[in-house]
Amino acid sequence: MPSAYVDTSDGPAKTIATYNLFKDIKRQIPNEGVVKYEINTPHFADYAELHRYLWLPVDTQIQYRENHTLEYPLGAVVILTVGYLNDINDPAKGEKLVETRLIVKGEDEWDTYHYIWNDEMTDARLALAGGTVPVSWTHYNGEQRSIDVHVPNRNQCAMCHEINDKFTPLGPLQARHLNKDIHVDSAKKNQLTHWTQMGWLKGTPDDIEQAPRTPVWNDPSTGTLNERARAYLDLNCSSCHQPGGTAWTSGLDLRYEQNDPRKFGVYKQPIAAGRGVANARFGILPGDPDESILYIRLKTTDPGMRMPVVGRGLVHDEGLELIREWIEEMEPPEHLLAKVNEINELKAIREEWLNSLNDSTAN
Amino acid sequence: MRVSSTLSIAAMLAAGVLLQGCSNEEAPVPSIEDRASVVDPAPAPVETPAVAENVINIAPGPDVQEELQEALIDAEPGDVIQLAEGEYKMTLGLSLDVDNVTIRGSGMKKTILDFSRQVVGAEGLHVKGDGVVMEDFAIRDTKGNAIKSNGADQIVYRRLSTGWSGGPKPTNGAYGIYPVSSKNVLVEDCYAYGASDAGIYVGQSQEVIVRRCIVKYNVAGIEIENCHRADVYECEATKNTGGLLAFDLPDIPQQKGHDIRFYNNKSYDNSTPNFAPEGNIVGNVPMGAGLMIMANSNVEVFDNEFYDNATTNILISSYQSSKKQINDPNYYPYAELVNIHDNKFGRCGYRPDGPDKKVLTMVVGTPLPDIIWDGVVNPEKAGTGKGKNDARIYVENNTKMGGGEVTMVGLSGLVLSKTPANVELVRDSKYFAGSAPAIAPVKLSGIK
Repeated sequence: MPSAYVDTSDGPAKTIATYNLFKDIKRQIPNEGVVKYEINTPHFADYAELHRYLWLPVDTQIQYRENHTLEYPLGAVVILTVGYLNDINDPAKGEKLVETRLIVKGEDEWDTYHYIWNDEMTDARLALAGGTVPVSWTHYNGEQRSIDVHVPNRNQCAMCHEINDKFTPLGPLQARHLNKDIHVDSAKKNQLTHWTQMGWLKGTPDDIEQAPRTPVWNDPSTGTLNERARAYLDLNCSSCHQPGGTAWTSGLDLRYEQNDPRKFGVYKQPIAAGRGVANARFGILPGDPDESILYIRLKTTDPGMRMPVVGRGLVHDEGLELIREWIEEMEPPEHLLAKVNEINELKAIREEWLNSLNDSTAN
Repeated sequence: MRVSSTLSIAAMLAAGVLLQGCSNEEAPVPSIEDRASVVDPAPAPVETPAVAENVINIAPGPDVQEELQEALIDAEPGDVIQLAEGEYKMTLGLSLDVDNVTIRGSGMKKTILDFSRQVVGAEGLHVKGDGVVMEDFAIRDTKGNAIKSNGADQIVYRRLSTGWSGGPKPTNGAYGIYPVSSKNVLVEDCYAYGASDAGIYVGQSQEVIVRRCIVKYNVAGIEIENCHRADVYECEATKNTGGLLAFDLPDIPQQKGHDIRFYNNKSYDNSTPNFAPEGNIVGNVPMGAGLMIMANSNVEVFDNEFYDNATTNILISSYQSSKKQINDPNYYPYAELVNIHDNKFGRCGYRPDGPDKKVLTMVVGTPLPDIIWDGVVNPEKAGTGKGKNDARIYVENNTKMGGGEVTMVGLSGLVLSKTPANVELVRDSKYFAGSAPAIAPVKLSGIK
């Protein structure tokens, strides 16, 4: 088949077949020139399978920057296919493909196009306004689950993908997400080393294994509970919850590198979280996940309360468990706890005084 | 179009709206006729545009969700999306990310976007472009907020209605009209009801005008939060928990709210019990507060009418009195330079509510005064017990309806005191005498 080639300078193609991205669509085997990639901790997408690929125009390369971010050449394409395994316990039973998203690097910023697959999975049509696709699968516990997948429209993509008013991919921009071992011809190899050897990536440090690496959220051998929980929040939340992100009005910064507990939610008062607060007082109350707004909003499916706002409709049971454990075992930072205690003390004294008045008036 | 100022108790009774007595009943839903009697949108004046507008017409129908969202995505700057009369059944939140687009309905009683079946989206409509105008339609029963705009400069919300049809409930969305982080914000002739936080909330913005709006059955009617330069005028706030609010909160990007004016408003009979989720700062608003100012500097309150507010007509407070700790070292928690003049005050303080109602009732006595100031002052500015000039609260030239004195009290930190019985209250009006320079009017630029 012809090689993969993506040129959106005259606008996106009406169907994805034009780009020849896949040698085998149903098994999501990429064509020559399209490279499958992995990241350490993915974001939760309602239990969908997320297949990630990259394509670069001929004779172009990605540049590894000193601050461990990657700079992509003009015309680079980040590709994501969203699908549902018929049986989440057994990939061999096949998969229903829902959509494939492209993010293409332009002169000024990246732009995005969504393609929704037909039932036969032979081609996918451009769907800028999104769409709804019903899916059904056998879950981990053997139960059958069915949902409507809401393929986002371009504006909904922008809620997470627009930072400082520029549209951007998220995962493959940070080397730490990509810094991991993958299998190449049945051998284990560092992904960034592999790209360098392929001629795709230049500027990687010699000691790439020592470069920052995002922990795998559900693999305790890759990081502490705290590190893995912070990685989970970074991948699921920080696209909006960072300076310049859609949710910056909240002042809540969930980037992995945010070290100030006050800023990532510990004893933080809600600003305009509305119903998402659900009678809790703080973003995170160390030791008490059920009284932590962050946990409450991950646990609900109510569209007026849930977090993330777009991108999920279900609860991620396993991720929620990680966050629960993290908050339960969290030690309250001394200086913040002191103030909370001060206020609780004042309230207690006030109660006592009022009760003593009631007693004396009753006498 | 000036909102009629003669809406009387009798008219409200005739429209079937009961006055709230006991705080345990659920407030009745405002009827369509009731809404009509207070806001009757005059047809928009016909203007011949300099250049012919490109109009995209949308009408209700089975595919309207997709059609309308596609129109919003495909719109070019300068386009008008014209929504025909009728009820639009929406299931997904809408969003607009293009500059200079106008979304225009056929009237807030005629073009109704019904989100009661919404499954995705934290609001009904989310706007991000600059120079957007939204006018003449209604948004109802969203799962979250009705309309939110974020970083959208030169935005206009005009003759819109937002609300929840089941009456004031904690399950209603938080905000009706919700612009944040924007410059040049105009909200005019709108009607907001039933919000479980604020009917109209303007946050972290600069150059803001909210005028001729009606807010009813919200926890907070109109809330200005962490804004620089905002004018709220000719608005009517009734049947909320608190009618009008100006707050400044810590730990968020834009801080030090200042230069806020409230004038020619009526805030009366705010008698809906607080139905906000408890952890929210707005959960602190006592039922029956005409105007509540927390931690802003330079606020001018004049030519308003405040009456039938069961806690107090005007409450001025530092952030500390909310008994939430302050972790943000840059935050300035004091309310300073509040200038209250030429207002009319009616009956108030007859049934105090809120987290401090017991101590206030015991120590201050009922009925509570027209103006309550918590008396928490920046220690660096504490002068002769009443604060230095730029930290003062001024009360001058106000009148009590039906004759009598306008009453006020400085609580000298009573709310935070461990020995409330020993606190010396300040009630003499001479401590509040004087005035501050009038604040300059907000000047909007770039608004159509």
